[in-house]
Formats: sequence, structure tokens, C-alpha cells
Amino acid sequence: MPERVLEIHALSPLLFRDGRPFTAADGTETAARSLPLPLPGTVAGFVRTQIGKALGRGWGQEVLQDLHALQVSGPLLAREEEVLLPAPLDGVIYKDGNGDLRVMRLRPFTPPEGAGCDLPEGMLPLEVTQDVKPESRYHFWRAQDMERWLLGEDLVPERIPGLPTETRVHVAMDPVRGKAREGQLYSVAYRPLEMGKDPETYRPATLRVRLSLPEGMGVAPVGHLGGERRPVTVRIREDLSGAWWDCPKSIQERFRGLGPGARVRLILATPALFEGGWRPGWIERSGSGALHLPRGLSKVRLRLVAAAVGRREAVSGWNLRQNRPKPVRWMVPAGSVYFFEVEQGNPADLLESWLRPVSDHEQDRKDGFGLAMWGVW
Amino acid sequence: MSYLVSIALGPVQDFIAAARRTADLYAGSQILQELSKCAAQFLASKGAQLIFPADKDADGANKILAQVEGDPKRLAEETKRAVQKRLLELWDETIGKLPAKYQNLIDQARTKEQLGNFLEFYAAWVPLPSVEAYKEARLQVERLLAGRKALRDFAPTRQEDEGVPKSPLDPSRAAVIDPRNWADASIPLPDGSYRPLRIKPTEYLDAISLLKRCYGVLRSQTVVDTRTMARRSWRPEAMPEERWGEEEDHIPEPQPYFAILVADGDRMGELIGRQEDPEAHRRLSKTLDGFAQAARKIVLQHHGFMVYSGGDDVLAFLPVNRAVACAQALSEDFRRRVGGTLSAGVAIVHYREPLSISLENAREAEKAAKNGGRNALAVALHTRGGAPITVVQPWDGLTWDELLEAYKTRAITRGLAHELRDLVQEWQDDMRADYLYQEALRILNRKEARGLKIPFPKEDTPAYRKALLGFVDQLIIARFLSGIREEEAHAGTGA
Repeated sequence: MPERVLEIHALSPLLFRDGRPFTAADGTETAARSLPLPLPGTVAGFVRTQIGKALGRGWGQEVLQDLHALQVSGPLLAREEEVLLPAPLDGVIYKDGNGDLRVMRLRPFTPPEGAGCDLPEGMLPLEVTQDVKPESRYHFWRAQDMERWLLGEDLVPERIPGLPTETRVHVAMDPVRGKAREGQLYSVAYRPLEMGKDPETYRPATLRVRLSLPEGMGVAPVGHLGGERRPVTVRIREDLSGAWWDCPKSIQERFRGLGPGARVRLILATPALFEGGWRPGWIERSGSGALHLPRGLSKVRLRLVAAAVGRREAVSGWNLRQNRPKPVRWMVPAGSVYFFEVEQGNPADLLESWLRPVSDHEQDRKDGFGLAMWGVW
Repeated sequence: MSYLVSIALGPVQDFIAAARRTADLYAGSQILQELSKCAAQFLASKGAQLIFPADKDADGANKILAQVEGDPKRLAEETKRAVQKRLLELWDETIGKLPAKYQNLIDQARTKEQLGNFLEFYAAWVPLPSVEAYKEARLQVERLLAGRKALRDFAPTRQEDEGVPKSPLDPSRAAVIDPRNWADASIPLPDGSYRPLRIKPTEYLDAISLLKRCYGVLRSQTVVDTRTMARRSWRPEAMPEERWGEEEDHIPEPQPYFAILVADGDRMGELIGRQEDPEAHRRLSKTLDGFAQAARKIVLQHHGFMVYSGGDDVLAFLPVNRAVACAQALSEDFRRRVGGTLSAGVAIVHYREPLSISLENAREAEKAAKNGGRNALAVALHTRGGAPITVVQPWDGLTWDELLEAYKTRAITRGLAHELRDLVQEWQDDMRADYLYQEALRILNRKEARGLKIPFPKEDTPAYRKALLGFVDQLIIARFLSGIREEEAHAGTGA
């Protein structure tokens, strides 16, 4: 099955629901807010719907099963032709005494004799070397900055806050009289797929996903993504590498030179779902040759040394087939960082999972949770 | 061997902001304070010498710094267990007051899972060989704690909630009640009367939100809701009780806006970093506690309601027309006691707007004050529908009084701001700034407020237009701050 990159354009501002209910009722729950980006599962569902529509074979059990089995990796945000990635949590951007921008790289360290903290067993803290207040709104990094960061270079990235918020106030309509209903205001904070300093200079942004599309399958070009049925278009990009961020040569080269004992770093490009909450369940089975592990991880045994993991995020949703809420699960946020030591195996094999999912369960991986980027420390 | 131990409890902001009603908000901050106090008291009971807070019974922050003897790791574990136990006690004490009928309607297993996974607890420690080493040790322990907090470890959640709606206040937790059975639920107060929990049929509350709701209602004598706060701009003595029985959603409020004030000290980290020894730091803790207590009085004097006051942090609701004066009084008291400066944000918001969003607006305003060079007051206006506007001024350059006075004496009406704005927007950048000034004066002279000071042109036209637009924003905000009621405001339209 040839791999493809799909590009999603918005025809109007989008809403990525955060799990809170909202209605135009009196007084309560009258404001919907959007997540900064859609969750991987949302985009995977959308892509499968578009493929199913193009297939035109209805929505029978068999079709659904086939669609459900498609591996969809994403979404990545792109500003024009440039792929952007969530800011890594092991970099703190701050202003020094002269007002110059600096970056503090957090690395694992062994506290001095007698000092300690209440981390989970066997974990090292990260070393904070400056007492600073982090600068805000550095939410996304350019791929080229991320590449250097993964290689262990210091740099101050461009400030990219991500998609803007556009709050619109609506009035609930009385369908019978065709008039506004008294007092039924509600507001929705949409996310237009645009980026820039101010509305005058906004440039279009897109969402990208990568998937293996069986021969003969296509995608319906127009559909609805996220909450409130907001329309989007989707198209297949013919230039696979130009539309995606393949593992850079510099990182491949660096990993080729590594052996057992090497220190490698995993940064998540999308939120991940792990068996151990914050802790990937595959760590103990890594390098064991076990089946059903994320790509590359069955060949390399890793030991977890430290981690920078943000506050948990929730994912649930509505099960359309059974017409009832799905259970809620807690995700590790995108940008979280895991520091490993390679115990056995060839570290270069880890790159097989470059921007491919490393969540524990297979279906979560198929939905795109936990895309991996690899670097050193 | 002596150690310096630093502990941080959470969650803080997200937890507090997850509130539908003022009582929820108040309950959230009180519960957090009770848990922090429990940690401080437990440490003190184990012989720890507290540094921040200095007094184990002080209401305060979610941070604790103490000097301890013995094994700090074990002590941290025990403290965590004590706080965890306190949370369960709080649940039992609060939910235990519900009539048995309702207690039996709560999903116990899910409640246990949610309470067990609620608390965030982080601790770090370093040896403290001597008093002289304090300054350096404190720096180290805070950095170590920050390095520990880089990993916000959490266990996977097992809420067995397939098919169960999620909490509207925190979608990471599923409902433990079916609100449709709770429409008439009420809880007996200490005086024997019953207060309704007012759980709407869509409020699928999780355990933590249910705890907040009941906790808040049990203390409803002290809580002032947002609508009463809006009313206090024209009836300072208004109390929530007077609205009992009113069909609340359908009577328009004559002046529906109230103010949320968020303030905290500037560069507190540096101030704390200058403390040479535990004793000096303890004195600073006491000073800050003194400010927190004084702040409560100041807010009360301005007919406000203190949601949270601990250390240098203040979160309060105020009538719109007392907000600036109250902020000023807080700033002066802080300067006098602590010797530092305060940054404050005031958001003017509609009482029907969702509380979590209004709260965010207030925090944004405070951030604007910090970004505007600190030692400043930012006032932000969030009307329903219009774009928000914010004006930031340093404390010693505030110019609100004159404008408020002008609105109060009816010297100006809402028309002035709009006329001025039209003028500035039509004025081209290649036209002279001093003519613009004269035009503005001409408009002003048609009003009663001839004495009102309009910014004088000091720079080129584009800069002056910007300054005038800032003044227009201030005029618009000032009308809201003056607390003029809708009917009076409409009477002024087009004047």
C-alpha cells in the first residue's frame, strides 16, 4: 500500500471540542472553547469517513472494519509548506538580565549527596539552572529548529503561538418563527486555520496526516471536521516527502554512530496513550523481540532515566455506533520528553518509528496517538 | 541532620477555575487551602520548623517550605498520605451531611477512583548544614522542586465510565450522579434550615465537583454570588438572601456587570531570594500573611467578596464602582507592609458569563499589568458581544477618578467616547495633530465636562491618534466602572 499525505484546508474557522457540553440554553454552558489542535482520533475518524464516502459502498460492518484498521498518523500543523511541531517540554525559553532571549535545556541529573525528591522509583529529576519565568506563546517549533534541538544544539526558536482564536457570538433561533430567541446568546471560540501576527498578515495553515491508502482508494474532497459541522477540504499530496517531515539525514547519521549505552530522547509530536498513565508500557518489553510493540522498539532495549511530562489531558468522545459517551482516558500531552539509555540493540532501529505512533495499544496507534521524534541528550 | 523541604500541592488554577457558581469557586479555593493547611500542620506535628507559611494555621498558599530533622523522604511520603486522608475526610464530612437518600445515589467506586487520583503532590529536599547555608540551600531546593515538577506523573484512570456522561466542569472525570434525580436535592445547614444544591438536569457532576457544590452550599452564608455583586454597585448593602425565591433568569438586572480582581506581588522570587536565614524568611512569611488578612478587610470595606487571599495572592469579586479604589487600597497596603509593589488586573464582566471564562479574563488582565512594566493596574472590559478592551496604567499615574467623577455627575455620557472615536478614525495620518486636539476639544465643549483633560499631542499624528484611541477606551471602560444602570445609560444615548 503506497503511503500518502493528506492535506486538510479549512473553509471556515473550526471548533475542536474540549469535552465540555455546550448549548444555547439560559445562563449555563453557553460558551464553547476549542482545543489548540484536533486530537489524533478526531482527525483519523474524519479521514476514514472521507475514504468511506469516496468508496461509496455504504457503511456496513465490513467497510467499517476495514476503515477502522487504516493507520492514520497525524495531525501535524503546517504553516504554508512548513511543518510545525509542538514545543518540547525540556526547553525553557526566557529573557536574561539584558532582556535577551535564551533557552534553558533541562537534562537529567543526579542531585548532590543528601538531596532528593519524590519522583517515581528510579527516575532522575531534570536540572534547573536558572530561576526564570518562561516566556509565553512559544507553542510550536519549526521542523528545522526541532531538528537541531533533537541533536542537542541550543537555539532560540521562533515564537509561534499556533492557531488564533476567533470568538463569535451567536443567537439561538426559533425555527418556527424564524426569530432570535430571547436571551439565548452563545459564543464559540473557533480556531481558524490561519497563522500570523495579526489578521491582516494571516497566512493559511493546514493539517496533515500520513496514511497507507490501498490502491484504488481515494478521499472525498469535502467534509466536516470537529464540532459544529465546520466544512473542510482534503486533498492527496503527491509529493510525499515534501508534505511530511521525514527523519532528517543529520539525525539518521547521528544515530548510526550510536551503540549500546547511548543516550536517546523521545519527544511526542501528538498526545500519547500509555498503559502506565504517564509511563509507556512498552519500556519493559523493549528489545525483547515481542510482537505488537511500536515499530523499532522490539529491537532496542531501553532504560527510562527521566521524563518531562506535562499535566494529563483527557480524551473521550461520543460513540456514534452505540450512541453513548466513550470512556474518558488520560493522555500524555504532545511535547512531552522521555530520556532513555540504550541497553541493547542498535539505536538506529528506533528511527523506524519516526513520526509514527508509539502508544501502547494497537488501535490507539492506528488513530495516530503518540507520534515519535527521536534525538539524543 | 537538618534538611530544607519544599512541597507544592495541586492542582491549583484549573481546579479553582472549574466552577459554575461563586460557591463552587469559593469551595475550590477553600478546599485547596484546607489541604495545604493539613500538610503544614502535619509537618509541624512531626517537629518541622515551618518557614513558609511561618504559622501552621495561616490560610495560605499551596506551597510549603520547612526545616526538618530526620528522613525527609519518609516525611514527604507521610505528608502526602496525611493530605490524601484529609481529602477523604473532607468528602465524608461534607457528603455525610446530605440526606441518606442522596448519598445512596452516588456511584461509590467511581468516587473512590476520582478522589484517589485527584491530588498532585511534589516534594524536594536538600541538606541544611548551617543557618549560614540557608540562602544557597533554599535556592537549590526550589530548583530541585522545579526539576521534579517537570514530570507530572499520573496513573491511568479507571473510571468504568463507558456510556457515562463526563463532568461539564472537568471533562477528565465522569459523572458520579445522574442529575435528573437531584433536581430537588438540598442539604441541611448548621442552623437547621435547608439549602438547595440547585443541580441542573444537565449538571453531570464528578466527585470533585459534587464535593465543591456541597461544600460551597454549606457555607452559603458567607458566599456572595455574581448577581448580588453586580447589584451592589447601586445598592451596596445587597445580600444574596434577598434574591431567594426570585425567578432568577428572567428578571433583567439593571446593572449586570461586576468586577473580578486578581493581584499579586511583583518579583516575589527575588524578594524571597534575598532572605539570608530562616528567621528572616519567616518574618517575611508573617508580613505576607499580615497583608493577606488586611486584604480581606479591605475587600470587605469595598463591599466585595474575597474568594482567595493567601501570601501575596488576591482573588476577589467587587462591585464595578469600587473595583479601582479597592485595587488602589490593596496596592498601598502591600507597599507599606511588604515594601514591594503589586500588579493587579480588574476584569469587568457580565454576571451571566460563564465563571471560568470571566476568571480567565481577570488573569489575562493581571498578566497585562505585569507585561505593562509591573507595579500597575490593568482594567479590562468584557461586554457580551463586543471586543474586549484593556487599559494599563502605573499606580502613580492612574487617571480613573476624574472620568468616574464626570460620569457620576452626568458631565459626560456614553456618546462622547463614540464621537471622539469616530473623529480619530476619520482623521488621516498626514493631517496635523494639534488640529485633531482642537477638534476633540470642540466636541468636549459641547458637553458639560469642559474641564475634562484630553491627552495633549506630544508626538506625530499617528502616535497621537493612538493615544487618543487609548483615551477613548478608557472613557468606555470608565462608564462601566461608574456603575451607571442601564436605564440611566440609555437615557444618555445620543446626548
